[in-house]
Amino acid sequence: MRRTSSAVIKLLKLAGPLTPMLLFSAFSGAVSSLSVPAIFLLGAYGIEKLLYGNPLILWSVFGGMLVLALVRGVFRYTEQYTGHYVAFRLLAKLRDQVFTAMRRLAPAKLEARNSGELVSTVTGDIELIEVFYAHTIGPVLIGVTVSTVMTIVLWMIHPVFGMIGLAAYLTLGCVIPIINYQHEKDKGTAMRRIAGQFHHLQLDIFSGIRDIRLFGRKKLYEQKLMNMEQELSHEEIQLGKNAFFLRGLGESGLLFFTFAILFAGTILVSSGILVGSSVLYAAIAFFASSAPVLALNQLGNGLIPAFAACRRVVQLIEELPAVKEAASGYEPSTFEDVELGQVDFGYDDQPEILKAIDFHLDKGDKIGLSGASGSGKSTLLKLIMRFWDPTHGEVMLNGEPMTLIQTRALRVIEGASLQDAFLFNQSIADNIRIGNPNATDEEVATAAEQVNLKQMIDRLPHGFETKVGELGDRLSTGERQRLALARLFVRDSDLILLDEPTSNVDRLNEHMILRALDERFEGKSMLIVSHRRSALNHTDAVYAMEQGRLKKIR
Amino acid sequence: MINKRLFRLTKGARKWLFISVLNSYLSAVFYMASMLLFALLLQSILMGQTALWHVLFALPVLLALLFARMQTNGHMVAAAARYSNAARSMLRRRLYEKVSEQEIRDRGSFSASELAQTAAGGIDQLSAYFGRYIPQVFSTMLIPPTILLVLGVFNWVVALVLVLCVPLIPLSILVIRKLAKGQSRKYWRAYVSLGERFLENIRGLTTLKVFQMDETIHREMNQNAERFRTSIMQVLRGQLNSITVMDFIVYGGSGAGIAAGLIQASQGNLNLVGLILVLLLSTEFFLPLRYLGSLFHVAMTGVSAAERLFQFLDLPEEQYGEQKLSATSSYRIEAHELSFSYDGTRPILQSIDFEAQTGERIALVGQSGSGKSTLQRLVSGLLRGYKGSLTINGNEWRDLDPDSVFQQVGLMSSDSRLFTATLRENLRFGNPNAEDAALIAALERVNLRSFFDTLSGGLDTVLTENGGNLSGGQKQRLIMARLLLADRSIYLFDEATSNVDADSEEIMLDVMRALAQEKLVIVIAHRMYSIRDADRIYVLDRGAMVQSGTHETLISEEGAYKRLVEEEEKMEKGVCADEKNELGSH
Repeated sequence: MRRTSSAVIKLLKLAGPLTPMLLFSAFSGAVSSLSVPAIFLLGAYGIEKLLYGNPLILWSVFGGMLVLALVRGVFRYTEQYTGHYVAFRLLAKLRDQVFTAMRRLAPAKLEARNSGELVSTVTGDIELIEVFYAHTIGPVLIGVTVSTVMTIVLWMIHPVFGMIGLAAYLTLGCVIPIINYQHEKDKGTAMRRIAGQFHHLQLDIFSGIRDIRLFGRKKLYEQKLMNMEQELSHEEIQLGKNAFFLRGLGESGLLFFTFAILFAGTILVSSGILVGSSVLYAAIAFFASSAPVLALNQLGNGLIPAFAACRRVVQLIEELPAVKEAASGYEPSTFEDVELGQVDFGYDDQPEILKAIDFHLDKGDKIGLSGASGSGKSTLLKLIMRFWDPTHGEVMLNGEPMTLIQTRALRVIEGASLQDAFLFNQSIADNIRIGNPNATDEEVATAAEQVNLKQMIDRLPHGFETKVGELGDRLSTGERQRLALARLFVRDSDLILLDEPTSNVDRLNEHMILRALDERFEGKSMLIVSHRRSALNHTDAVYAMEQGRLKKIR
Repeated sequence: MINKRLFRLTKGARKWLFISVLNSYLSAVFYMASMLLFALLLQSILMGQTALWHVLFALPVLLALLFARMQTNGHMVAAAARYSNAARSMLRRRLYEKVSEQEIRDRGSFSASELAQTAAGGIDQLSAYFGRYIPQVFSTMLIPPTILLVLGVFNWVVALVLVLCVPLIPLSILVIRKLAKGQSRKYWRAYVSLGERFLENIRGLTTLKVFQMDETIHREMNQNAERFRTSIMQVLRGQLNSITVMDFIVYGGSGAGIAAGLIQASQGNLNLVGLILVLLLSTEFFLPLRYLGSLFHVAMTGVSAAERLFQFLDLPEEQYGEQKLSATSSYRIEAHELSFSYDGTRPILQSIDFEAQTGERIALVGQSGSGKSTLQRLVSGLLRGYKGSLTINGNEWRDLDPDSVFQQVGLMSSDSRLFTATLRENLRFGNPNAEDAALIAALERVNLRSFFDTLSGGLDTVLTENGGNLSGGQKQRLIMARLLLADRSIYLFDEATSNVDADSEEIMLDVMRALAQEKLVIVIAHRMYSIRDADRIYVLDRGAMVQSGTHETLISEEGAYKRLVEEEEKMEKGVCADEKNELGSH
């Protein structure tokens, strides 16, 4: 609980400069909400005048109503406008903060086993916090303000009415939303889970529809689709019913408490304490002020997850990186050699994957690294890239310990292609330019040719400007891998690090790419991690990684 | 107001719509009744005629009304959800039927992934359209007139004043909509894409850091967010006007109604109960309209999602025959002057002749765009509508029932898919009755046994989307194992090895060779070396069959085949040199 509150405080600080705007939004909301009971009180005033035979000042009543209607509209506008302003500002700010944190924590953080989940949680969390800050705090403030003001108004008419009002606002604004939350918490998550599964099932089935057809499994998969559809539909109906039951409870509560005012009013009037018109005022004032309080019913669900989201995001922002990047220090301009001395390494609390590794790669060397998957060969490469620091021993570049080398300079020297190379939903050209934003069109085209993609790209209607996402499954895994590799060709690196560069590429393409790499980086150094002999054939020496140890095999 | 075609789709489910609207109407009636009760009570309080028994008598009536209202609300929302679910289910079924019975010809504009996205996302977008918008349209047509009727009983002038305010609402929505037209959707998309970019950049952060692009991208992202924010605030300024106008009309209108009531009452045309009722119900009169207005964007998104769906459903139907292909041990496929065009104008295949029979391994080669894949889709029975003749054991393809063809013809291509399910389920896709031992034997045939043995989950190991947790070679070999389990008589392999490593390719080619001993195997190849030993090679060039024969005869002719081989040999040269190197070093 304390962690939650401190996280929320930190978050409020983060959103700090936006607080006045947020308060203004809530203020506008309260004014616009209060103008509604005011309109009806004016109506009641008209009735009272009429009833007691006073001359009806119709135009002032009607004029007043119109003014109040205008106030209502104008302040609704400012409420919404400032609310949106806060929301968009906050969203941008949170994304900025989280991205800053992730930049600090990557790549180690993204290498972890559940990183996919982390990424989707973080994006979801940001939206939750945004909803909390921009669409929850406001309504709560409005609800509280309106309830307070109206309780005072009712109290002024008669304390009994004030007490009924207070009880009503507490019930409608607090008790019912909390019950609502309790009800929906599990159901809601369950339904979102099933909905997510259903979405994936549909994607899966409709993507594979041709195979389903060819294998005569139409009925089977239609059945699967229908079963899940029914399950989801059942949940949806239950959830909808629940939500509406509680909303109905709120409305009924409103009518019930209105009735309570009439009941108390009857007693007060018949015992001569109040005149009838006071009861009219009280009933109308209460009845017309309920909307912002009832609106709180729909909020409850977002609150608790938003707190959890606050905790997670603040934790992420404050988390210490696995590797502290060096902003200053030795700035190597060329690559001389890399040396691992008695290096031990294990991920987090898992057993050591590298044990007492000695390894040396000199300028101009082309070394291959083989071994079964999980043997630690990729890990060795990542130590050289300083994704991680070794548990024991030292990694040295040009004779300097890695920790003292400016990380940016290290990245200039090293050019790497990793296993799960990521393609962005940008144009093909922009994806290649990730390797070097200043690459000319010609250089980009040459790079594409070197990975044997040029022909394919030229056949596309928009050529190099085609967005990767639009290609969808028309871009095969092999082509994706080759596209990511093209990034290396537009970049001048001294040490090329390749992790399974050709795992999804056929023999001829593999050969072409490796030869092109040889030509492009002639005289430069290279380390290729691969379990395939064909890829290792391009190297001068091959080491095998076995049970955390390194053995020269060629 | 309501998209006719979408509404027509829900024919079988309209019962639920009716129940939902009916309950919503009843709920409104109960509400009005309780307002009438309040008005009566207030009247007696105001007139000083109140007595406790009035109130005590009113309480059970009120409670009964509240209870009834809760009940009707529950029915209303459940029925609306049923209606929406039934409607979406019907759409989904239609789409499923369409694509599971039909080959989507126009692969260009409807890729498999887009189809999937539309089916999953597009139909879900219609949830609110059916579940909220359509019921609300009907409720809005019923409830305000009833309120009007009730007030009209007390005084028709008040009712008239309220009616006169009604056209202002849609009018104002229309005017403002026109002002903001086009902009809103564009900006909404920009907003969504901002979020998508953020997610994407976090996912690809390792790549960005390796290439030191993280700072640039971060800056770019912040700039985009800022630019988006300033422009969307401008748009919002316009759009939020509708809120001001709408609220002014709702409450100003209510005010006008109340004012009219006061005048009428002062002239003695309206009694006190009626006047209080006007006060309590005048806003209620406008609220359904306002709610409907707020659902307009739901309607817009729904309709635009539906448009894409209808495009799918409207694609021309393939004409299939009904004759069953009988199972035998030997098959012979013959094509004579076979021509095909997708659009009727641009020919894809022109007067093609070829033949193939059980026990043969036939290869089809040619540059991409030569018509190979179209020929594959014809032979596998997916496409019809050809000219000329294409027969299997003497049966014209166009007369055959496709499902009976699929029982004999198995197809595997580079875009065959695996499913998000266990390994067992994926293999049983080929043959639902296969025992575990048979599944493992199939894995052995494609040399996946040793890989399989490393899996701790065994056959229960879950594959991620389309075999995402497998390498290209493993995936294709698994798909091959699945096909072997299906045990077809005719096998078509369409560039099945284009994304696999050399070792996997070798294994797969061996399986194809072995299959040809007793089955008919047709291989569409992207590498000449892989089909050198085929029994017959057909060479396609721009839709025409230009050469056919064995490798030996074709290589001695000047022609397309020789060119293709030479082109490849140029690439190959280096590989051979390397392989020699490798031999020398061992």
